[in-house]
Amino acid sequence: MEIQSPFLQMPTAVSKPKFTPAQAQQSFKTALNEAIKNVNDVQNESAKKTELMAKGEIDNLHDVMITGQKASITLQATVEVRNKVVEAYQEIMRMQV
Amino acid sequence: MTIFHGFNTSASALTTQRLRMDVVSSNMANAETTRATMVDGQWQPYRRKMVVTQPNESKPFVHFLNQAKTGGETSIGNGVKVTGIIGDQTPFKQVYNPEHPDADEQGYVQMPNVDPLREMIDLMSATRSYEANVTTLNASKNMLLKALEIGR
Repeated sequence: MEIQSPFLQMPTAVSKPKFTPAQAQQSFKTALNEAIKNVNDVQNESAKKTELMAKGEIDNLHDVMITGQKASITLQATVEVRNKVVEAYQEIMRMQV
Repeated sequence: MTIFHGFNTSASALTTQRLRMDVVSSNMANAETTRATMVDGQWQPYRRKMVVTQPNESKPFVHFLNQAKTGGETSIGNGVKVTGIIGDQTPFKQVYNPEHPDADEQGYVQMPNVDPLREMIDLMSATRSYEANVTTLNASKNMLLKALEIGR
């Protein structure tokens, strides 16, 4: 495999951004909101299943366990993404000006 | 298809194996039941039940189009589903027992066509299959968790 210099891929002139900063912020906000809402939905489903199990209204125990696992994995993925974002932010903040 | 497709597939298999286990329990419980259904004014013994399964595949138009294009299977389906519980058509056991309340004039009683040994094997098969599917599920879970460790 050929190793390319990273500078070869850099654009020679800074191209005009497609979005204004405000627009970019807005679309990022919506995406993040939707992702977190999705995670919350999975958590709620898991909580509902657990409650039903406590009430004795569930007929498949593995359903509860699997929903719990799904919730756990989605939450862990979210935390992992959040860690990356915070890491990037701190890296920027540490930059010497 | 989401990242939890494997989970859902395994879950359907777990549900199916639970049902198989329940059917085995019913067969075992009724191994000596001589009055299950009334046919023409005569009591019929319990008939052994069996589970019929089928792959759970919703096949949209795209599936057939891709199949025609590539000449092979293109989708992996959504696991397994139970399509019905049917009765075993093997003949009932004839047992000579004149004291039995359901004995006929010659003293023979029709007993259910349930073989406890066979039921035990079905039970073991269902249990092992359940375990195997839990292992599959854990494997897919560990795969996702390993993916979260990328770049750590």
